[in-house]
Amino acid sequence: MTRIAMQWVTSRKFGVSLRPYRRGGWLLAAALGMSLTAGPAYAGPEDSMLELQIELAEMVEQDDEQSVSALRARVDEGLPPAALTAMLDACLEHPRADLEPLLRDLAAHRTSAIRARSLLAWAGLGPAESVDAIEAAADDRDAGVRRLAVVLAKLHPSDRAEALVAQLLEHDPELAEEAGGQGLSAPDQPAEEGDAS
Amino acid sequence: MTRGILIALGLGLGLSAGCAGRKLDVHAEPGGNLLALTAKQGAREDRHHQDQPLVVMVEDSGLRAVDPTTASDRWTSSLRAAGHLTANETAVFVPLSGHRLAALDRTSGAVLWKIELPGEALSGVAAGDRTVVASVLDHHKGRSRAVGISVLDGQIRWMRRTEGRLGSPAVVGTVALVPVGNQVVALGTRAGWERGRLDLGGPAPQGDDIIPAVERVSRDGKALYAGTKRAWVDLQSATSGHLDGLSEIQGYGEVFSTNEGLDAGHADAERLRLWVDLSATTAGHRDAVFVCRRAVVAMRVDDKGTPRLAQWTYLSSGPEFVGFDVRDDRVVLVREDGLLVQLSRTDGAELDRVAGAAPTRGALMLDLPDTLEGPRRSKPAREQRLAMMRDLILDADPRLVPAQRLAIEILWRDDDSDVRDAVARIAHGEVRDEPSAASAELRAHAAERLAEPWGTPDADQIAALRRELAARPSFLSGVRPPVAVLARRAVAAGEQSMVADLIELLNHPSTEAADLDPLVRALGELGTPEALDAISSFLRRYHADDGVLYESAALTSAVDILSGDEAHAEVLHELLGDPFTAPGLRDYIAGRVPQPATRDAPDVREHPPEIAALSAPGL
Repeated sequence: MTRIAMQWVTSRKFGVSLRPYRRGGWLLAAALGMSLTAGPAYAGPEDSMLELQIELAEMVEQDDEQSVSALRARVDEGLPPAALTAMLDACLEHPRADLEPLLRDLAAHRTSAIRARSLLAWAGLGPAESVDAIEAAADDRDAGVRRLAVVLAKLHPSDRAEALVAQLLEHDPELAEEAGGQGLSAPDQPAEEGDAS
Repeated sequence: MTRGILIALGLGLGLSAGCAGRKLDVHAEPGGNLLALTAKQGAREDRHHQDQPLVVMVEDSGLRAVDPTTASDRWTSSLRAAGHLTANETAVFVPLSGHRLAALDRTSGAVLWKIELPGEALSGVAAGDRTVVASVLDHHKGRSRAVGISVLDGQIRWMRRTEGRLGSPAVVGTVALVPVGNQVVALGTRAGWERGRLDLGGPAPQGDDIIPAVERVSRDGKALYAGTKRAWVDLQSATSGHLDGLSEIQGYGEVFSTNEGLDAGHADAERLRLWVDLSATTAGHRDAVFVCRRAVVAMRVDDKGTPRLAQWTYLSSGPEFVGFDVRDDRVVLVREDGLLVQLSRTDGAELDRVAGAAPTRGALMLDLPDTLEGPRRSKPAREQRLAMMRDLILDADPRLVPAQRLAIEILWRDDDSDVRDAVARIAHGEVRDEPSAASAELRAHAAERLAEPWGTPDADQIAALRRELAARPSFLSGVRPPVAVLARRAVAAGEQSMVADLIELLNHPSTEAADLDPLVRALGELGTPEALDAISSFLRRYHADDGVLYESAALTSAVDILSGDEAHAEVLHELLGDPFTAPGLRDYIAGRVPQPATRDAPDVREHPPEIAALSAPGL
């Protein structure tokens, strides 16, 4: 377990990840803040949760085939939102193409906070994946997740992404107004290298 | 001395003013928070409530109180009831001939008091801890009165007269809920002052003889319903329901017995009784139990009241049922020979019976426990259910015709054409061909069914349904399929090929939370291995997510479905052992994990159904 990963999971215990602030700046944080705060607080044993979060983050960092099947098995068994959040934060930190099916699957999770994090990690896998993620985000029933589509389109710009956002803003007047009022303009440069690939 | 006289005079004047002067408006501006009032009073009442199970048998020669747990007589009384009994925690109130009312001690049966009521007919009595409230109808003066009577000594504390008729009241704590016109009025039970009034909608009543829009207010656990015949309003959630589908079928009893202004007591017509689960449902169906003299049919009706599925039937050897109550896990019945019998709501098997002592006309069941301890039972298989209905229909007893008509309705809506063919055989006189009025009525009823389309959709409708099911919710396309409705229609169609679409909708992130439970239930109804696997996966995936648990009843419905399926019940044990399972869900699972089956337990059913597979599915 790396020290940084440990910091994430520790910060997750308090319900707010510091990660978005470091990576995407205030804008991404604002979008996530609207959509990710829905994660219900876990009421179980703190130690067990911490161990689970660490275990999942380590699996993501292992970068081998066994870890893919192990993560899939854990997700299929059902995980509390706090554990999924830690796992998805690790996926964001360590983008792995072989986890794409898992991220795509979690992008259909019922909890909007999990969907948003999954879309964020999914979009970070590459240009094609980012378009798929933006399309999924733009079509989401949750306004917070749709807001994330605009942000992702700025982080991962492409013609298709631009078209999707235009279509979204056409259907979502509130978001269009927000975007027009510069509430959702993208950062000029991502905070860390590789974020805007 | 002088002071005492003055106090007595004051009290006398106050009482007389209360009795004679105050008029209860048939229609007035709604006001007061009736719902908050009853919720508060109900909670207070529940805190002080103590369960004291008792069944009071209304026998020809008097009353007999039986402890249903120990099967022992508690007390007997020679009083002859002339109406329906009611009770509170300390007393049982017995309408007597001559418009009198008696109070008996609930523990000993001793007469506490007897009074004469100020009216010609008794249309409804309800009892609180301190006050009995009665709706009294005065035919001579053409008006009704609500009367408050002290439980302690039988003194009339207050009266409220009205120009219209009053429905049967309910008492919650110190509030009496009385139907009048198209409203329900909350009266304080101490002095009869109006404390709230709820408008139930519809036009304001006019004319001389104003019949209440609702027959009675009824308490069912913590729920309060105001209803009439086949429609009702849940006073606490302000949701309404109706079972108009039942109105097309005569003779099945009514959800709320009609109030003709006269309590006829335990009359012959009462031996046709219908119980329907009135609680809010999102799955589009309700459990119902129909008692037809010596037959009991447990069924499922759709949201319009149309009978869809018989769960089990039970036939008594001869005597009819005169008393009836439905608890969480069983149906409690009293037979006219005094037998008290309890049937499992799951499969209709006898759970308990207490022998009777004398001819009985009715019964009042008090504080029966919601559930009895015992091994978990399984729903009858389809073949067994069909065999039960066949036994019912083939019984030549003319008293069973209403239940047999119901069985024909259900057979006609079956997805299996061989089963529907049984209705044709009845219509053509191939079965029940004896020359009796009852069999002729059944033939005519079956012929009427043949003339109308059967319950499930035709090929074109199924194709249209399949197209609708293929749509997925989409914000950009503005597509919001009516998922719950489609799920119910898929179940009605009985098309297992629709399972895949239902699964996709269940797992779609944009499916509304309110649609999840209908989807899970629909998959459970269709019951294919894929459907049950999908339910199991859904439950696993979200078992640790409080948010999903509380946004809909889907997870608990999934538990209910899987707990009845041996192949998937293991999942529940796994989730029970998972420390991350949402606490609320864990508690729910713990109450439903199947107990080890006791395979040797004999079935004590009076007429064990013929389980042999139907060689010819028709009769």
